Amino acid sequence: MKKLYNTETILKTHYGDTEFVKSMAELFIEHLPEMSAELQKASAKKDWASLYFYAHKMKASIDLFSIESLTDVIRKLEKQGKAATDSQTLRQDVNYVADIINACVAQLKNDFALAN
Amino acid sequence: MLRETVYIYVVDDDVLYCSALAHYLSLNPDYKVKTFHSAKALKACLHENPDIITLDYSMPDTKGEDLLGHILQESPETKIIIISGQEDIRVAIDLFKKGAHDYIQKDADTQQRLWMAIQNLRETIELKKEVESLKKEVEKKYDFQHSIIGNSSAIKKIFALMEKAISTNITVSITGETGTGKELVAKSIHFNSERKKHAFVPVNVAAIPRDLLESELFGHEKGAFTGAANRRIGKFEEAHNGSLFLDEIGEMDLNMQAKLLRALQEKEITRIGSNEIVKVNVRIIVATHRNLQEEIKKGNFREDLYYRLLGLPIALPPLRERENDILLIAKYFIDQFCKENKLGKKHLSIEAKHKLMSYSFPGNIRELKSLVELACLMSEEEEIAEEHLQIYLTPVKALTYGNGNYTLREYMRKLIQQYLDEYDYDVLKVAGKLDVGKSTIYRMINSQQLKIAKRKIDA
Repeated sequence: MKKLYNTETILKTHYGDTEFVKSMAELFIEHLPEMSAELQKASAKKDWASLYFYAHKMKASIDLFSIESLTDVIRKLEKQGKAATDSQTLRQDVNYVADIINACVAQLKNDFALAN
Repeated sequence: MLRETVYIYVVDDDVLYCSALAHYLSLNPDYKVKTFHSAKALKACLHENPDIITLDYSMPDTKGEDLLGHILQESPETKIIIISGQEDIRVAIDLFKKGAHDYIQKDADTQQRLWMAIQNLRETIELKKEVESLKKEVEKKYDFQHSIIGNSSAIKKIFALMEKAISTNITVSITGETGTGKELVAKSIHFNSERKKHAFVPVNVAAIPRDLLESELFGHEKGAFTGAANRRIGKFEEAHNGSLFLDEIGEMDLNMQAKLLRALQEKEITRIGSNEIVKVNVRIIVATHRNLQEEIKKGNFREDLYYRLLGLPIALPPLRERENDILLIAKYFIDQFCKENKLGKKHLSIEAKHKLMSYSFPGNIRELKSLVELACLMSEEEEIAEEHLQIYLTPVKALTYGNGNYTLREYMRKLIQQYLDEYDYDVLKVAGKLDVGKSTIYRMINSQQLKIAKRKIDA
């Protein structure tokens, strides 16, 4: 499977500190699945404020790990939450985000030899 | 200079982003970085007064602007840098108005921009810290339990008066012999009063030429008189909200006294060559070694000004009336001098202490200071002996003529000679003092047993 993320952005701004990248990966594994679950819940309830809030928060982490397959869709969800408008693809989008995040978590666990 | 630790709190509920920022900032070893993921956790730590807080605008448990207000209330010295994913310029302006120091957008360059912002802030913080510590040092210097040494009842009365002066704005008039510490008392009053954050402006009236005193005190406009090339702010304006210390007020001439009186009564001044009236709020402290009541009688000092300046009179006791304080102060000066000059600890011998206690100190504390400092230099050992205290002025002329084999007539001649020398060869006065006939003295002068030098004309 194609690698979904890369750590170049983190390595660049943190002067190649691989230990730090590992600790960031741990945090990603710990928090991102939770957040994407919240995102799904918010879309089911059409809770636009929460949708905006979680999309906004996830955006920073997604950019940090350069998860290109989510770059656009997370921004789309953020805008949608802010504007409080429904769309036919909403359900599909949040499920896609959750799938990619889960796949990323699996890859990260594997690459950094992390249990959990 | 830029070596001080800077305490930075990174506040962001996004755990990843927060860690990334914190880790990035802690690459600088001078930064101590703590992270917070909720407003509640931050509030619990605000009492630590961090130097800088980077604040995510949208925290889940509080509104960003409320949190900003809360931080500034709890820890007003803290600089706040807002980091926000929102791109709304109105929000940013609003936050600036509420006291945020900087506003950085969350994007790819955030970390670098934050780094620069903190670097800039740091210099400001360093300067502020330096000013604070210098201020504290000055305050400590003039904390009068440290600056004025003594246990005697005489000085305790002075402390009580100073306490009263500190708690009010009353004019203080300090009198005392030279070297009793008039300026020190004035400074201590200022630096312990509510005016300590503003200037203490000392003016030695005796040291400024009469013609220049007015412009010195009130300032002048450009071209007000020959040589007034620029506009100049006077000491009164300089001391606005602070204290103005007029030393040797007794030396001020009558014309100037009238102008000073007006300034004090109206609480306003006019610069020379200007029509503009400047309001001033100044606490006045005056000092003199003269007896102003005597000067009023002689016509050298205005009575109305005297009463205006009298306020709270503090009469500093001369050192010889301060009992054991002489030794306390001597010890203080010895310790200070030895420390400053790396001489090791020294102390006074018992004989040296007796010598100090029996001396009259016409120059008071200033004289004591130079006396013991010289003694510290002269003594090679730890103990400062009697002979190291070089008192040149013999306080009382002793009337002993040793074990010379003089006749009674000789003793008489020497005694009268000494009295004549002392009383400026006033024969009548000496005759009265010694209870001998003036003709006896005249006869001895005529027979040249007594010497008369620079005799004033005796009618």
